Amino acid sequence: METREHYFNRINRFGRISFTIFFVLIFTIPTIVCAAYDIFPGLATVLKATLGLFLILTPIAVSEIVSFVPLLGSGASYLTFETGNVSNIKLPCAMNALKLAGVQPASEEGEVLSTISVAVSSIVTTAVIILAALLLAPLAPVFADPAVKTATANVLPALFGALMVSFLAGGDAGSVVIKGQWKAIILPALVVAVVHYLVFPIKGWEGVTILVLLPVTILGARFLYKKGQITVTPKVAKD
Amino acid sequence: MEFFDVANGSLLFVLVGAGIAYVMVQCALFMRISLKRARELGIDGKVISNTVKSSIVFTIAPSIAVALGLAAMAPSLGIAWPWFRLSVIGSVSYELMAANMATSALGFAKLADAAKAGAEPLGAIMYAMTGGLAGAIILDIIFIKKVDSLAVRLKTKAGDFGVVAIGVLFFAVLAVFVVPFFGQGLVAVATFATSVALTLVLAFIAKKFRIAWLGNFILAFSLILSMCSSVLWTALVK
Repeated sequence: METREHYFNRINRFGRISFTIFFVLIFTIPTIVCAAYDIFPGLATVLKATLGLFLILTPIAVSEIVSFVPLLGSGASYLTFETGNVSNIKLPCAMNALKLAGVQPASEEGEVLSTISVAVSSIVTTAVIILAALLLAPLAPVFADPAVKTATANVLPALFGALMVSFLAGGDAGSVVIKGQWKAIILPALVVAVVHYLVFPIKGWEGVTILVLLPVTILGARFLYKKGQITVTPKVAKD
Repeated sequence: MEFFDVANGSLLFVLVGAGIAYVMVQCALFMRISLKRARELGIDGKVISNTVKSSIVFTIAPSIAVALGLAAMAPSLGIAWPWFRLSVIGSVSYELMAANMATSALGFAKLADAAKAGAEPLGAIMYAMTGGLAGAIILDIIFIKKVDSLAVRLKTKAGDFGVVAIGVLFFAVLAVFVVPFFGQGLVAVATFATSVALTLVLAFIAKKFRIAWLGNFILAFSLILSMCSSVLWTALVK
C-alpha cells in the first residue's frame, strides 16, 4: 500500500501537470479562433480589457485557496478550481459527501471521497449543460418560464439552508464525536451581520470576507473549546 | 465576418468540445486514482457508491441554474463560448459580469453593441475572460499542494482541537452566504427557512423510520423542494 505522503505527492503531481496543460489549452482556443478568422485584437486592447477582471478574480482565488483547499484536499481542489462553480456546487457537494460518510476534511478518507464527489459532480454539471446547449431552442420557453427563473434564482438560500442544518448538527466526525460545534458559528455570523448591515454590503466581497473570517472563526472555536463549550470525545465502537 | 458567424461557428464548437473532453478525461483519471486509494484505505464500497449517488442527485438542481446562465449568455455571446466557460473554469455568478466588464473596457456600452461591431470584439472578449483568470490558475497550481499540506500538519499538531478547527472552517463560508439572505426580501428568507425545515423533517423521518437510503439524499431533496417552494412564496408575497 502507498504511504500517505506518496499518494499526496502523486495526486499533486498529476494535478499540477494536468492543470498546467489546461492553462495552455484555454489560451489556445481564442488563439486558434483569432488566427482562423484573422480577428486578433491589439495587445493594448486585450490588456485593458483583462486588467479589471484580473484584479477582481485574483484576490478571489487567494481567498478560495486558503478557505477551500483545507476542506477539499488537493485532488478535489484541482478539479474544483478547474471546473468552476465552486461555492454554489462543488464545495457544498463535497462537504455533503464527507458529512454523509462521517469523515473529516483534511483526513485521508476525506481527501479521497471529496475527489470522487467533485469528479462526479463535474461530470453531471457538464452533462446538464451539454443537454441545455443542445436543447437551447426547444427549451427556450422553459428557460423563460417565470417559475423556473424564480426557482433557480433562489438556489443559494435553498442550498445554504440545508447545508447549515447539516453542518451545525455536528456529531460524528470520523474517529471522534464533536459536541457543541454549532456555537462556533455565532461569532462569524455576528461579524458578518454587523459589517453587512451596518458598515457596507459584502456582496462582491464574499471571498475577502471569508478570508478575514477564517482566523476569527478558529479563534472563537478555540475559546469555546478551552471553556469546554465544544467537546471532542473518541467514538465508542458499536458491537 | 459577423460576430455570431464566429461565436456560433463550427470551429469554436470543435475547440470547446475538445477542451471539455479534456477536462472530463481528467475527472475520470482523478476518480481512478481516488478509487484505487479508497480500496487501499479499506473504504467500504457502499460508502463510495453512496458518495457517487448523493453527488449526482445533489448536483442536478444547481446545474439547472447554470444551464439557465447559458440561456442568458447565449443571445449575447453565442452558445459555444458560454458553454465552455460554464462547463469548466467559470462560475455562473461571475461569467456574465466578466463578459460585460471585458465589453465595457473595449468601449461598448453593452454586449449587444459589441456583437454589432463585427467579429473582432469576440476575440478580445475571449482573451480578456481567459486572461482575467490567469492569475487565479497560476496561484492554484503553485499553492494547492502547499496549503493542503499545511492544513494537514496544523490539524495533526493541534490534536483534538485540530478536528474542531478544520470542521469550523466551513462555518465562515456559511456565515458569509447565509447572513445576507435576511436582507434579500421575504422570498429568500422563506426559501431559506423552508430548506432548514425540510432538512430537519427529512432527517427525522430517515431516523425515526430507519430509511437508510433517504439519509443520503436529504440535502438534495431539501434543495430541490425548497427551490420549488420559492415559486409559492413569490406568488404569496405578490
